[in-house]
Amino acid sequence: MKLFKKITFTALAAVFAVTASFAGAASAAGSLSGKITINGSTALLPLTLQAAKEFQRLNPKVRIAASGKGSVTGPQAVKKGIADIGACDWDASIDVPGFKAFSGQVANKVAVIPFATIVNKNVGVDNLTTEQLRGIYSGKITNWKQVGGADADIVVITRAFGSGTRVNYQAKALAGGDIVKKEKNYKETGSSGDMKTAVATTPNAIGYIDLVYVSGDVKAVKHNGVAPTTQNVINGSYKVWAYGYYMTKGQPTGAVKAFIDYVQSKKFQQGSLKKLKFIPISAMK
Amino acid sequence: MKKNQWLSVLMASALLVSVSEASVSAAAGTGGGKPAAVKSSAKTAVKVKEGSAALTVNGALHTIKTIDAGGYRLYSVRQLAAALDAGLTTEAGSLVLTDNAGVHTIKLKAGSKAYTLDGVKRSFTTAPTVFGGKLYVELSSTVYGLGGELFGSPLQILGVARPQGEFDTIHWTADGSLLANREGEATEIYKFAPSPGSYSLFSTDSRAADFSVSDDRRFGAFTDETGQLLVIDLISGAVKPVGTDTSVKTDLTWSADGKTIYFIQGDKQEKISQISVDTGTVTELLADKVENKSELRVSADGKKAVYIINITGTAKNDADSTEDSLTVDYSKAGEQLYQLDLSVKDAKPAALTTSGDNKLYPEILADGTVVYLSADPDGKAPNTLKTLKPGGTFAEIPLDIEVVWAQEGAGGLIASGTASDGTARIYAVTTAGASKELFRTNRGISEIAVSGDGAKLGVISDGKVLEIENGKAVQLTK
Repeated sequence: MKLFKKITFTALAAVFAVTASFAGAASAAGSLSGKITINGSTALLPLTLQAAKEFQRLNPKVRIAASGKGSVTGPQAVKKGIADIGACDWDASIDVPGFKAFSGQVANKVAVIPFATIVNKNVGVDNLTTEQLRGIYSGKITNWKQVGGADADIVVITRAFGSGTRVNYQAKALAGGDIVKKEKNYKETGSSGDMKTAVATTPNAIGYIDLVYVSGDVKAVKHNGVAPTTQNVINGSYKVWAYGYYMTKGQPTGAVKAFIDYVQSKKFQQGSLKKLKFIPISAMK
Repeated sequence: MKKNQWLSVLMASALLVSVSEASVSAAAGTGGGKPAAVKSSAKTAVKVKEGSAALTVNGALHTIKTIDAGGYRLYSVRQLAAALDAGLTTEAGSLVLTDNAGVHTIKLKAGSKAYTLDGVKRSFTTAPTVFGGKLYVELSSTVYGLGGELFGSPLQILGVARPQGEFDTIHWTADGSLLANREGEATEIYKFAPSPGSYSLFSTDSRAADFSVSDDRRFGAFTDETGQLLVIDLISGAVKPVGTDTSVKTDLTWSADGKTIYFIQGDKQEKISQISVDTGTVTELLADKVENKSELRVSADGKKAVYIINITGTAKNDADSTEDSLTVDYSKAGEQLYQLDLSVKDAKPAALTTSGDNKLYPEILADGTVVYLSADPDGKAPNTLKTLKPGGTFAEIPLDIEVVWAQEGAGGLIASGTASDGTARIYAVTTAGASKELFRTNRGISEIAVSGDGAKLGVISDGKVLEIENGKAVQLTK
């Protein structure tokens, strides 16, 4: 069982045996206290909460309060001063399609996030090309038979504007293609969980989601013939992925820096982060 | 022994001539099989003092003959080799020392500072020296050369050096060994027997860098990056999958009988489930759609579960995600303890706490008392251990430390923290709240493992592995 708490010491002697009466000057470390507030990406929220739990064991007096409302709200919250860290699925310190850079903010890489195209389990299609996906999300392709499936209307599920998953999916899976709002067979969702639920419960639906959220109630399809797997992301064959970032107002300091350092540490990256099905940032060459 | 005595020895290259204390000199021989000779009247004469040293070698006391010459103490090579259980042979005029595992070889000649270690040329400070018909060698060069280690005062020697480095993630095993992971690029889990220098590399499986240990310390459970649950045999190191479910699983917790593993399930940690270790069958125990569960604990009788829900803040904005519309309310964010009655089908969880303190390390004691560490996020009050009796009464366990960690063990609770004098202390705490100090140190303590019978502690202190019994610590790494 881990204590995690580190206590620094001022005296150190390389001795073989020490006894219960061994005493000396030592100082308490892990003495950080205060509150760290984090808002933004719902995709990064499970990672943030897991890291918060582990970091709190190192620093019991630190309160980490997190919330998720889509990536763009991360740097927005930092800019407004209502969060210390903005969790965002893109580097918000630079311009990306649809969003201007948040000047003065620093992007701290924390994870690699693969995204997958998912369909309802009644859909017979197993692979979609970039062009086919551009057609589906632009509204030019409306029936599954146009891409090798059954004769059934395609129900397009997308994330709402401001979602990092949407930004990255448009950039990587659609190669910059548009997502066009439609009058029918179209739905926008506000979170990764809502997206999965919508696709899982809507026959003939298509959507997209972080790979971590793919489970047996939806079907992940190949992209240009390549399966969305961690291995294919790492070996470079699967292109629909992005870094996840913690945005901060300038370089992080104090408890915020200590928390980001912990998330970026080998211990967390190779341990809990992988078990939550994210990919360590060091895995990408 | 006589003064000015001429000696010949088999490998001989040098000698000292002396009684218990005399003026002699040591000179390198020419080799070629002819014994060399040194006169005590030589200009480089040094005083030699014959004696003995009591050395603890691999935990056993040995008396080894020594000579002091030229400011250096040399040790009987035969006695030293015997104590280290090292091989001692001759080969082409050289003396050959081989460690017990056959890994390291020292080839030396009496009177020659030059020697080879594993085939690489080295040099002694003082040449191996013959005195009274016996060969004496430098202690440290010989011990370290054979892969051993010297340390401490009084001096102790290990035939096999303790592993070096920063360690973390410590666990006890059923055979009384400690497992600890050496930090580094690759996973290296070492298995330590209680005596220093007795260890082996147990596993390099990165997936098993950390695991949840069964109550009998026989197995560890962990998941890989696919979500697959695996169990490692802590005696043999064998790893086997349990079931085929690949959903995200955290907070793995063994049942007391080792037949079931409970866990938080789902990519948003929204369920509590269990899996049969024998069949791999997964059973949902709670699927209330409440996310961010963690710190699952299950009572020894399997009837009660306690866990923490990390309540998130509430962010709101308009449909266009405009910056102006964004608000975040963190007023209710934080951890709260919940309890679930596992003996009642479809039981609803009950909130145990509503306070705003940080809550860590929940445990369920034998009498049903729930204990947790309470920390003030404002940093104004010291951390304390709080108890919640089955009847709903809260209390604090009085300890003279600021608690930083606690775990069920030894029939009660093991807790550690920092005292006002800065020392780190570990206490055993009974269910009635009585405490007994088990260990204190002025070093840092980062991890603690309690043995199955509660009699021993494994501790990571400043990255070093310590085994503690009856208040005495044995350092197993350096």
